[in-house]
Amino acid sequence: MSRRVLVVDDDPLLREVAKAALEMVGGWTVLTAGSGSQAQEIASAEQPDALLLDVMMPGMDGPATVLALQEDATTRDIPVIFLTAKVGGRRSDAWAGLPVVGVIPKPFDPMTLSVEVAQLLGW
Amino acid sequence: MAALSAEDPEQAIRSVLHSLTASALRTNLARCLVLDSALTALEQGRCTDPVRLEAEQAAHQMVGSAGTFGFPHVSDLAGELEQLLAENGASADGTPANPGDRVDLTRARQLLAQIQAELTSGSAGGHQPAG
Repeated sequence: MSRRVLVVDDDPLLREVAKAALEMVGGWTVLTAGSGSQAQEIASAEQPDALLLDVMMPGMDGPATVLALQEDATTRDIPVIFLTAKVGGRRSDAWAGLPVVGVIPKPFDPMTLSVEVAQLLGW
Repeated sequence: MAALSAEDPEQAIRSVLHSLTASALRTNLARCLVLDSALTALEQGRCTDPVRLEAEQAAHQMVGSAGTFGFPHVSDLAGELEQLLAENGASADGTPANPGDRVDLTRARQLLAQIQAELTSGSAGGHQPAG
């Protein structure tokens, strides 16, 4: 059975590229969400094998989404990978201690995205 | 969206990127307008924290979008602009800072002008994503 990955990004164009990359190169089934709150709903209902989660989003951002997923027994064990433009300083410090598997930097290479995800998840 | 090709994923990905590039250019040029408005507000000493945060977010989104759609230099410039804006958060005591006091507005303007020029050039020149 194909792996199922939930891609969460508020930029619809990047969402589409990531979805295409993971489907075409990785051969996985990809669900998408445009916000943290939508991701929470889909993750709970669909139980994907992993989340690829943008960090900086309006409303519920990536770290807040991770915390919300942690509070829900049905989603707390879903591995999360952050997908974000390189940042430093106090903002990346805010991620310290969050239960994420890893971080994939933007801009990402669509041809290698699925390989990076698989490596982080041990797939 | 472009037709899928199970035989050649690389070509299929290139087709997807190509089909979305014009939209990405328009989106990033719109983000330039957000940045321009914020910089104008900073120059005039009337920038509110939500305006600055919106601009920081626009720059951040451009870092990912421009790089993925074949404008790596724009991505770098947007990253520098984002950093300039991010360094201008609330002061240590938690009170909102006066953005114009700390942002290097001259450098920020230079960055934005270069970003707009490169995006406009790509838009006019039938830019192809690197994909």
